[in-house]
Amino acid sequence: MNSNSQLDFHPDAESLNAFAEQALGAAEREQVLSHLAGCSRCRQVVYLAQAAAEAEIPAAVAVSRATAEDRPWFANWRWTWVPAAALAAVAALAVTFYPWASGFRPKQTPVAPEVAKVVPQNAMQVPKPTFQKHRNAETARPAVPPVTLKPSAKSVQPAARPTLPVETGQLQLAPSAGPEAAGSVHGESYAPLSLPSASGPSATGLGVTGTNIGGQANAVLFKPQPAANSWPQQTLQKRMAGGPARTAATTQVAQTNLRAMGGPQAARTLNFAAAMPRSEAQPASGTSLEVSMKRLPAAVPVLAGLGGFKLSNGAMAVSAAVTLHQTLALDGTGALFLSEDGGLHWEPVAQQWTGRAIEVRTTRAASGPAAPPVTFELMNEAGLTWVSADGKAWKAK
Amino acid sequence: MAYLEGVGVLSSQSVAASAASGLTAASSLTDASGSIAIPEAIRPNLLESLQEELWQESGAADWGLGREEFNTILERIGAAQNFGRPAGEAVSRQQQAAFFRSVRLADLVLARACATGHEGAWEHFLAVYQQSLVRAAIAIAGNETMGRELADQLYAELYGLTTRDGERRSPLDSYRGRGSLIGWLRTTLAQRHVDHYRRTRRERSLEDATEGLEPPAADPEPETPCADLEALSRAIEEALRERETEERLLLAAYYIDERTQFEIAGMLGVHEATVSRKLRRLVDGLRRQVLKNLQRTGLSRRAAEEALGADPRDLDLNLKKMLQNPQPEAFPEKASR
Repeated sequence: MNSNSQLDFHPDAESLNAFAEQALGAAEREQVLSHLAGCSRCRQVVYLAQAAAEAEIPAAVAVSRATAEDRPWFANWRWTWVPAAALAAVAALAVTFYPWASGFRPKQTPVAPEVAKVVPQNAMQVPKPTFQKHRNAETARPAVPPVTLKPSAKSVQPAARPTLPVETGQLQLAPSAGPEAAGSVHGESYAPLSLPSASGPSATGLGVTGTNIGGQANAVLFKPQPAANSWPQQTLQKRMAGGPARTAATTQVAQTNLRAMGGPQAARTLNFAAAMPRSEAQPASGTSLEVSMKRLPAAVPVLAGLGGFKLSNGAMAVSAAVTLHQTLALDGTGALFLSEDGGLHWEPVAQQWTGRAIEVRTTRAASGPAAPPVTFELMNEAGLTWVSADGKAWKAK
Repeated sequence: MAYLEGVGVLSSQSVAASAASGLTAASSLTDASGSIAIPEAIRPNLLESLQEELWQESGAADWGLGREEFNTILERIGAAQNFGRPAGEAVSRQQQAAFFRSVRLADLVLARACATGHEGAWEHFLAVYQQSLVRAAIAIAGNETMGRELADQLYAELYGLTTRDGERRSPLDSYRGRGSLIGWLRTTLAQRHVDHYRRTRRERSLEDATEGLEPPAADPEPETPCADLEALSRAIEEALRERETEERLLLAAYYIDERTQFEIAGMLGVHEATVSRKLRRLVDGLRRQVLKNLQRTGLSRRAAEEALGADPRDLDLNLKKMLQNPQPEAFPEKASR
């Protein structure tokens, strides 16, 4: 077989699809990669299949949103009791231990008789000693809220900070790259283009992985960000833009694909003399995002509930479910990931359901001490549901 | 490893021992008629415990597939792909078990049941995939009319309306469960569309093809001396030849297909930042390599850099051809059906 005959034979749909879904072994992957490098027909097939998969996402999001709307308004907040309980526990501890830590030693003598002794004396002498005595006495009683507010608020604040989504959003999106970085994402800062045609395809990036991340919550999450032109915010805003625009973009891609099939129209010139890309804004932003997530492990469960975080394969989570010890998240392709350390490390979960998964959630049939344990539910694009107790083994519901 | 032992698959057998005990590579499995024959030596390797596990997981009973039939399907797809290992390589039991566990069993049995005409399987298939398939076809074709036509054609094929040797043939028979069934359907649609487009493009008349095109202008004289241009062409060709497969694919996707970094990232299954970084390093490395190659021909550093500044239109380079694999791989499918 000579080199020309390479183009006469192609990998079948099975191999191309398995390649795109990362399901091939190293040797098979290398074989398909090698073919793709020289075969525009097969690259075209992979791009089109990819565009078709992306076109599915708005429909899946619509199903997901409809399901979410069917639930009562408080259903999405049912796990807020976890951070609330933690906050209350810290407050109780602070109330209990603050007097000891701050050097106060409450007197065992009853307060009332002392006050009773002071009151009949000279009125000018009353306020200072009486106030001191009162304060000491009340601080010694943890059950009295007005006195404990000030010290407990001071103690609680560090623990409460990571649970506030707005603050976390600011940390994530701290503009680490300058304005120069904004245009480099889609390669515009690479070699000079002899034919400007990259604007169409670049629009296909809209909303591929992020459209399902809870809209309103994320709007709040990223609203305070002042750097309107920084890459992460641009990307997230685009990804939250929604369906119709993306469908149009996909159509545009298909038309562009047809044009591109006509042969090599070298709109991008591989110009070795050209300046190198100016900045690495995108990797830098991505890195800062990861770092900020690692700095705030306690915030991850909260973020997971709202969506908008990255998984181990680099994709954004589009749906997530959180229990006390486990976090499950889906990416845009329907791959499921499990974290047992609050989102620091993610393990892929083998697919045991049909179709593409579009939503994962938790469920509890009843409340109270005799209630069954929390289970996970996973829904595919056809609306079929699977359940799992541990997030790893799934059964059809 | 512990997991495999836990489900009853022995794990301590080495590859060499497996080969010695009769494990067979796929290359020797094709019989005279071209179909995949399952030697008896393979059958005992699919242990009963593993068979049971896979059977339970697949839900094959729902679609009327018997155990024997199910096991035969598994053995055939394993043998046809040498259990995901390079052809000719001996495969251990662990590797076989790992291969079978990576197969999308539920999708596989559904596809095979549909191919055999199981009514319940078809009802399930239509309920789950019909809308997705139409949406995918519309996205691929770029408009609703063509998309629906494309989807209808594929449905007809899937349903087995085409016959060969008097026997109904469904493309679903060729699905082997390596990726998802919906992904396979999308890729099949994309293949049909691209092949159809390429076929009809070739059938366009010369008048249609050249209509509206300006007559080509005479080439201006190149500013760079011809000798330098030839040296530059050779230097670039050598530099490209030394690139790894993935790098050649990156160059083809970005510079020939004009795909965005996001699209390329989706194809390779990496983050687009990774594509950006790799492309930057790749172009940087290529530039250095071309300079080095030019200097090797006797040019000074400065002359080499000047040669790099030549107008690309003056170069006689076929980037597409250069990026092709010098050692082509054989794939079973022909370009056009």
